[in-house]
Order: sequence, then structure tokens, then C-alpha cells
Amino acid sequence: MRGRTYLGEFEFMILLVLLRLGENAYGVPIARGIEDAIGREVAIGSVYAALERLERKGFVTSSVGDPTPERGGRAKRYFYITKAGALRVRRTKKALIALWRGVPQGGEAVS
Amino acid sequence: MKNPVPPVVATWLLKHFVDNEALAGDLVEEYRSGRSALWYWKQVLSGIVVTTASQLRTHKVLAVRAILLGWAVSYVTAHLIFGFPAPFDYYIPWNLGRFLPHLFSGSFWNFSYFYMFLPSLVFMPSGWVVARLHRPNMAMALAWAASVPIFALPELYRLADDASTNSRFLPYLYRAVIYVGVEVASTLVGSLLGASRIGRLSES
Repeated sequence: MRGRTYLGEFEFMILLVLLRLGENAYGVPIARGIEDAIGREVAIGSVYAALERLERKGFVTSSVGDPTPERGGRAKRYFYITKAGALRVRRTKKALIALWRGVPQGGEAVS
Repeated sequence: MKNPVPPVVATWLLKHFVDNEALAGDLVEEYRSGRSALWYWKQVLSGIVVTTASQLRTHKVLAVRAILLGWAVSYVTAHLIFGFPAPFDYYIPWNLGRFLPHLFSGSFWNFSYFYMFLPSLVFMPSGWVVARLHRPNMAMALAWAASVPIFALPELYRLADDASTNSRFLPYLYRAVIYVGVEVASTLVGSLLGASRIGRLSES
């Protein structure tokens, strides 16, 4: 298992949001997507820090758009999930489902 | 009607400590879509902390180098300016009065408060050098600035312990706290100046 990179919970959520957003994935909608899912405010800086980690791992790529006036003349940075990223999401989902099947149902911990 | 321009100081801090144009644009977009100034400030401060922590985790060796470099520059500068290598000595004014009584006369507390900005002469250059040599971001300079109060903790603890047993030691504790604050602020100012200098050089 040495050298293998695992996804943290926040990173996993970001990759799922990227899959849902498709071509329009930049900081604001990514943060809003996570906020909607977890029900609390997210620091956009944390989103960028996680995206940069994912980019280093090869799970995400990015490109810079055109500057727009509503952003004070600043450009958007769009993020896209790579094939390796999509594969890792599927593997993580599979592992989580397998682990979930082994958890006794009906207890306080899973209710 | 709400001002369409987000808090200027927060924007300035974000630009100089993080320099992530996409993040800055996202925050402006959200602010103009109805978020409050408090939200903007929270996002800027958390952005600086998270980005710095992320950079330090990724570049641990550089962070250690930055802290060691900061210490080295402080000691050398203190030696050059004061004649003794004591950048973290809270008694610099007292020492000056001892070595140069004809220049630094007067009551202890008068020149102590007057000269409490002397550490700036030592810490501003250290911040400048660390920021200058660890471009393009400010994370390493912030690591150096953050280490200053950490290394001062033993002395502060000792002074707090003395003050808790006898209140006549309280002024010494207050003065040390002020000195540490001046040291951190000076390091940050020096770092910002170093970063600004980098900006001018890269633009030219």
C-alpha cells in the first residue's frame, strides 16, 4: 500500500461536486455544493487548498477563464476531474459500500 | 444601499498574504451577490490561515529553513546594530543605557517605553530577507513570524510565574508582551515590504 494516495472526506466531497457540476466548476459553486450537502458554511480558501492537493495527486486539472467585471476584473479558475480522479471516486465508493455492509444496522451509531 | 466594494483592508491582506486571484474573485463575486462584510472578513482570514497551513505542510523543509534563516538574520542584525547578539533580549534598552549612559539616560521606564520599538530594527530586516528568499508566497515569512512568540513562551511563562507570586513583577510581564507584539508586527511589516519589492522586480 506504500505510496498510494487516499481521499480525505472533504476531498471526496469535492470530487463528487465536480462530477455534478461538469464544465461550470469553480470556487463559488463548488463551495455552495458542499454547503448544501453538509448544511453549514464552508471556507472557500479550504476548497482551493483541497483542490490544489487533488491537482498534485493528479485527480483534478484546472484552467483559467476570462476576467469578468462582477469579480472585480479577476478571472475564474475552472476545475475538471481527471480519469484517475473519477476512477478513485468509484473505488472509494465501492470500498465505503463494502464497509457499510458490515456495519450492524439499527444501532445508535447508524440511525 | 450596500457598498459594491468589499472591505479594502481585507482585500489588501488577501492579495499580499495569499495572492490567489481566483479566490479573490470568488470572494468579490459572493460579496456582490449579497454576502456581508463580516462574511468577507471571515473568508479572507480563514483563507490566509488555510493557505499558509497547506503551504507549510507541503514544504516542511522550506518552513524549517525559513525559521532558521529568520533567527540567523535577527542575531546578525542585532550584533551589527547593538553590538551584542540578543534579538530576543527584552532588556535591550536597559543594556543600551548600561553601555552608553551618556546617550541613554533618564528613568528606566521612560526610555524603556521610548525604545520599545528598537526590536523593529532587528525583526523588520529578518522578515524582509525571509519573504525575499521564499517567493512567491508569504507562507514561509508567516511561519517565521509565528515562531517568534512561540520561542518567547518560556520567558513569558517565567515572567507570568513571577508576576503571579508578586504583583511588582507585573510591569515586566506587560513590557515583555508588548515587546513580543512589536517583534511579530515588525516581522510582518518587513515581510510585506520584502514581498512588495519582489512584486516591483517581477513587473519590471
